[in-house]
Amino acid sequence: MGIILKNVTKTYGEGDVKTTALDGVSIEIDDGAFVVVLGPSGSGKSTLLNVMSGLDTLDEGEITIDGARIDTMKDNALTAFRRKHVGFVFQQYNLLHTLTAKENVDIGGRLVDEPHDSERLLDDVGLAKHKTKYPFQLSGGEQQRVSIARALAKRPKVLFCDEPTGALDEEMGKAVLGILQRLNEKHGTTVVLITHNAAIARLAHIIVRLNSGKVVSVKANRPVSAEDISWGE
Amino acid sequence: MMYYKHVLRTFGRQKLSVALLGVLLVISGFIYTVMSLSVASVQDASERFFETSNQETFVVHASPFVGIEEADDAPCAVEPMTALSALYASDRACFMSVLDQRLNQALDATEGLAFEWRLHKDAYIDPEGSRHRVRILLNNETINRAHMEGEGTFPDVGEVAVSRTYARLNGIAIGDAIVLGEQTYTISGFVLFPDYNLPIFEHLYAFDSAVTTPVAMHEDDFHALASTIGFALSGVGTSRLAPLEEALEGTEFVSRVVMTENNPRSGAIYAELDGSQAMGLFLSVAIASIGMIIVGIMVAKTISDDRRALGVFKAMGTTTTEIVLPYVVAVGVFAITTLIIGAALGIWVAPWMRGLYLRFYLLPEGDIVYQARDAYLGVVLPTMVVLGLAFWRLKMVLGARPVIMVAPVVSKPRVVKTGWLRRLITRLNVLTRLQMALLMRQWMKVAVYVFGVSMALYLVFISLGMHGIFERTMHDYYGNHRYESVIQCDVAEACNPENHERGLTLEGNVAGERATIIGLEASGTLYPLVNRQGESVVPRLDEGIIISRSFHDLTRVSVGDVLRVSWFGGEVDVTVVAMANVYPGAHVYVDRAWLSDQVFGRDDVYNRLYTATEAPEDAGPFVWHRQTMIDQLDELNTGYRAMIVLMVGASLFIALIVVYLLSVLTVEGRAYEMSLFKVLGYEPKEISRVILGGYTKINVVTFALMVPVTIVSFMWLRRYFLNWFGMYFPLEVRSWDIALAAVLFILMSIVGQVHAKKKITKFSLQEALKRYQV
Repeated sequence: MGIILKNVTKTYGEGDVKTTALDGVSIEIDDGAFVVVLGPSGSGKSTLLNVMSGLDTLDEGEITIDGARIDTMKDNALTAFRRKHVGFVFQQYNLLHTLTAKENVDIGGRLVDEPHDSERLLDDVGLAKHKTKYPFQLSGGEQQRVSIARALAKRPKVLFCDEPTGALDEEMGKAVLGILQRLNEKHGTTVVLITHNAAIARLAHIIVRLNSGKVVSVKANRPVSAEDISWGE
Repeated sequence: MMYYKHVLRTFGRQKLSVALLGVLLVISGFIYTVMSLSVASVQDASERFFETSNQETFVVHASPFVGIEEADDAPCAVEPMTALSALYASDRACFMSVLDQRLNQALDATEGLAFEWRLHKDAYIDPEGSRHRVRILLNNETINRAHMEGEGTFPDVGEVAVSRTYARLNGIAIGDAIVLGEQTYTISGFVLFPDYNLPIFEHLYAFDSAVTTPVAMHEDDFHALASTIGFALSGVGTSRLAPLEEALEGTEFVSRVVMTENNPRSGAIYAELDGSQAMGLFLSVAIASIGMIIVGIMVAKTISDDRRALGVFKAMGTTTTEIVLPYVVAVGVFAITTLIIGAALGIWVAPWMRGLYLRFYLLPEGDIVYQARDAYLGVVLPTMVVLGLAFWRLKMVLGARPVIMVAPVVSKPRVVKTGWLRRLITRLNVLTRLQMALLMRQWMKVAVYVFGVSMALYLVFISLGMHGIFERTMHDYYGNHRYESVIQCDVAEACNPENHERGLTLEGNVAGERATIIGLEASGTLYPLVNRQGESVVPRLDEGIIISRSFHDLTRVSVGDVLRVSWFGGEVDVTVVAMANVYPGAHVYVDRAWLSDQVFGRDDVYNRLYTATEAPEDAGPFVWHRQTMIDQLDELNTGYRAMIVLMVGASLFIALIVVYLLSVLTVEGRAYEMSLFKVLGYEPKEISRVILGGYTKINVVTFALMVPVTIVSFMWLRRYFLNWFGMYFPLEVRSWDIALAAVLFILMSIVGQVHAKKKITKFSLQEALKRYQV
């Protein structure tokens, strides 16, 4: 699913305290690409992900996903769009703590007519034995893997990942990234991942660098396996 | 100062909820104070009154006729079945000797008890052209002595004393002249008697102190007054009914024994006053408890929402005291201020409430005194409870390390380990499973919600049930009758029954309960009795006994049951053939001729005449008019209606606030899930179905359960009042009450949900996920 951003601008606040989070950002992402958006804190990464996924509105510019202008969509249309095409993975997992691992995946799957089998997905992310456990009974890495399985259950065409390894140690982080990489390769799902960790950028087909709300560079990259990266790079 | 500002702004974010909580506390303080002060003012003065007057503890009702053995043993010549009132009129000395004989019999049959006859007469009094029927009591020497209120003296010859409430309501002062019977008397003072035996009419509902009063007069004037004598044997020395009844069983003249402690319409309502106070306290405590729970939840929620900020303060090195104090001060000032406002309103309204009591009870008027205990129970204690809850929550939140406080909280739901339950859940569709999971695994929150909603619904049902209660009990009862006047006739006296319907009313025992047995003509039309289907059941008097619905409530007997009916000197078993849809108390109806035959051995005895047109005052010894009764009830109802409206309004308002706040809390408590579902692509309808659908089901189930629970509890309350106070309160859940309660409930739930949803949508989805993460 191709994503095109043209001159996207987003500001917060009013008057003298106005902050420009995104300043004329233009990016083109090909269908099936693994894109890493890299930048320091305050560079506008999260804002970019939010507007790109339809979670937030923009002030100027256009965003087209698979030929559809999402920046002009009403709230209901955006919801339908997210329902059909988009999956999310959050830094804090955002699981429902009252549901088991399998039930968390099920709530993602029931949005579409032909979802992935939730048990199979949990098996794919190495949690087959933990399907009846609650989030608080799982480690951070395991919770994030449930979150990925939930995002994938509805067969999304694009997966937005907001610092998915931000709360994990290196070993768990690499395991999570490995899953994302394999799913990208296996299903051709477009992955847009934002991070401040430069080592993770080595997984991407395209690396977008942001600073102060502006695109500093967009580079093609030959991806390496998640196992081969190191947090210290 | 900074911390205080922070706390004020934290609470300020929830202005509407805080305002409603304030109203809740004001009402709570108000209801407690007004009930407590008004009852206490009467109660304290009454305790002294009962003690100084040596109040009776029981009354022995005696047959109005001379018994067969009595006539044989009497020291004077008297025929059996002679009416004692007639004997008094013709031969007072003989009358007194029969009473003395009866008193001696009672003394012989019992041990350690004291008795004294109370004699009374009824007459009319005419203040400013009005015609009020009053009861004149001959003062006693030992039991039930007269109590003079305020200035004034006990009447000498040519003088009378009336109750202070009656005097005030009719503009009568000491020294005024009033016409009583056919004589003019001077008011010498204000009097009260503590008797149970004070009912002005035999009908239960004539108790308006504006139109009737006990009267004291000199003994000579009393005997000279041309009126029928009435009598009852007052007693002291025991408060246990069963042994007393057993002891008096073989005494021919005793028709029934009544313990006076729980009987209304007399001075002897000490226990009922206690009951009123207990009920008032219960109501205010119940309302305050609901208020406390809601206030506690709101404060706890506000503090929990503020957890991250508190974590930051703690991380910065702010001491626990510096963090806690502003909360304690803010919550304390809020609670104290609102409760004091409520208490002040209560003090202001208490004299009015006392006036309502005194219009009903023949009791002395005490001063309204706001005591330390009232301040403690009405203001200090509730404040301590709210503060305690706030402090407990703060301790919980501040107990964590700062790093934990600033991070999102991961709640640990209850793990369902039951195999069959898990299997059942897995068979449900995903949405239902999710609904159940969200509810079952956070059962504490759900339990609080169910408790709050149940309480609120109960208050709504009570409010709706109380609406129009006086109209149903009294006004409708008389309003539905078709006679214009009732001529009360002693059987021995001549009342011309021509063109009138005859009736025979006796006190007796039916199905083990003391009851009024009313004999009516089966062919009569002036005293209609209809069943719930609206069909007249009077013609069925030929076939057996008809019970009132209030008697059914009291005894649970129904149509088809065979009841034992007993009276002075006899008993018989009769089948219940119908139930009349009336609520006069423990009343049953039989054919007059049959009753006359059973009791007197002939079928022509009557002691009531029901007239189709208004009867002249000289038509019999006592004549009272239905319209006069209705007017009196209307007058009295005005005051009580105001009290009911106050209670109904307060209860309803509180209930709706609770439903509204619970709805807001429920939705806001699910903001995280709602936001997450939206991010995942769920549509608003689906989100409502998953997140709030469970609560909708809970609402439906709670409502459905509360209807029978309320019906059963009302049934119990009706029996309680009838058993203990002899008063019938037709508290019931009517179909339109259910419909109206449902509409109010749904409306407030929706308003609360919409308000909360609106609040949630102010934040971006990402922001909501972070802000509300639980």
